[in-house]
Amino acid sequence: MKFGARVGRRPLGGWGPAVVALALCALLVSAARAEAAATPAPGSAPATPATPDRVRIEGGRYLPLYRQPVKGANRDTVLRRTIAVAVAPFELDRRPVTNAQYLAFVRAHPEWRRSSVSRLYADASYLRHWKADLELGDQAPPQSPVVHVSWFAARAYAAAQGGRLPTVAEWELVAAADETRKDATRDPAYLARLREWYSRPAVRVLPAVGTGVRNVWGVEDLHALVWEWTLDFNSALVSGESRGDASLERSLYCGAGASNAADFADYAAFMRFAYRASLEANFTTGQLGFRTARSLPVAGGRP
Amino acid sequence: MLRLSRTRLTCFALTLMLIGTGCSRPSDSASASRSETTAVTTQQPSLFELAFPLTDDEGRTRRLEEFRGEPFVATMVYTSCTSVCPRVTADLKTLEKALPPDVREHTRFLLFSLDPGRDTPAALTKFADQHTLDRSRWTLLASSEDDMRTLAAVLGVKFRPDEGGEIAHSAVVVVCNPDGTLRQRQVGLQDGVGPLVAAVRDAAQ
Repeated sequence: MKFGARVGRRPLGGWGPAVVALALCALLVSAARAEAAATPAPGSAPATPATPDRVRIEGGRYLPLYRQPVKGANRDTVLRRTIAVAVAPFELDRRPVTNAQYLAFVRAHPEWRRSSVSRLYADASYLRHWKADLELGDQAPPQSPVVHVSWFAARAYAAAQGGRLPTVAEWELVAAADETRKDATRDPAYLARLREWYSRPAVRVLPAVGTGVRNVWGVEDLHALVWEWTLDFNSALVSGESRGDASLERSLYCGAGASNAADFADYAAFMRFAYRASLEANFTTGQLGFRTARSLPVAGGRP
Repeated sequence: MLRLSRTRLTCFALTLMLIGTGCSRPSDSASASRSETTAVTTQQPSLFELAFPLTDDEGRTRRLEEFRGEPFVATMVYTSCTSVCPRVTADLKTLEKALPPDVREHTRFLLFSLDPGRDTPAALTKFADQHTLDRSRWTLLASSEDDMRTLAAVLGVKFRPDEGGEIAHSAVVVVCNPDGTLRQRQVGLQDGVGPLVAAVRDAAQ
């Protein structure tokens, strides 16, 4: 159900392929529950700078996982190719938004406090790891990334800072980098590292931001700490709900069709794609945070 | 930390999960494991909480709140769409016709634009005329780009503009109660209008 009301489960009828993405997400949650045994958080972290710490990203090209119909092609032949998305220069937070930073936000914006937020904008687990409306408590160290925040909440925070959420293309462009290369996704060793990060057990209390990898852009904690909201997380269509071309993303999910994805080797990117597809804007979970971005004054600026 | 055990990341595992979980969504599973109670308003959220301004097909500024008091059916379209939007619109007209006259009289149909940049009042009017929509019941509404994103998120409409100016999007139809709460939500066109007709009749009670 939409409008934040969790009245019941969505009927499965007509949801076939979408179900795979949802099941994938159920798997994530289930894995988390199974592995949520308290693994100690890695050591203490350096303090986050008080001033906004943003990194200028020069832009580039992001090759999405999905394929688009070739213009003019007969719809029935389903001729497709991946089309690189041009990413204009922008600024991105160096680190995910922390509990401390988010606390300052809800102090200034009472409508986003846990006890007053509308269910339209955040589900019942919004900020549930905090002790109270304006108190972080043991489960939410000040320098750890804020989680249990919805897309609406993340977007409101970003707007309050004069920014916005990064687009999928922006986020993925930066996330393709390792410590020395802007695009490390052709390197099997890097992809193996990503899989290793993604398979680490969940921890009850997240470590501080800034304790993970700093990539060549200077951006930190993109992969191993939390999942992150993006502005257009809801741009991944699944079969049966798209326009007349119902097979739009069918090939991405499972089985033999999976090899139709643009780059199956980058399994982590594939996981992120499926994860985003499973989200709804008022969802909150203990592994989903965000960072903010800003457009730079460039012709054809982004939303 | 992100937790995906590699061994489980196989399609086989996904299939098992599908069977095992009844395909619950992430928060469904999460809430099942929650023991603490969060103070929540049990009241269902209403679409009328969205307070941003909209522009209708006559160029007037409108608020969703104005539609309080009668059941309404809503979807998101863009007027240059040549595939799914005309079909959804046709479906909603079928729905309109299928309603008992006394219910139809009090049901509103709202079409929200997914393409605020191009869907000017003139474009909305042209779309309404093309589809011979009865403007006493149908209202076409555009908003800012930002508010369109909010609306799409609230309604659960997925969308992705492509390079050719098309906007791939999910065909979501909602039926709302007179107080703006959700009565029924349908994704895709395959189920026909039957369930929607029933939902509107219920909402009109």
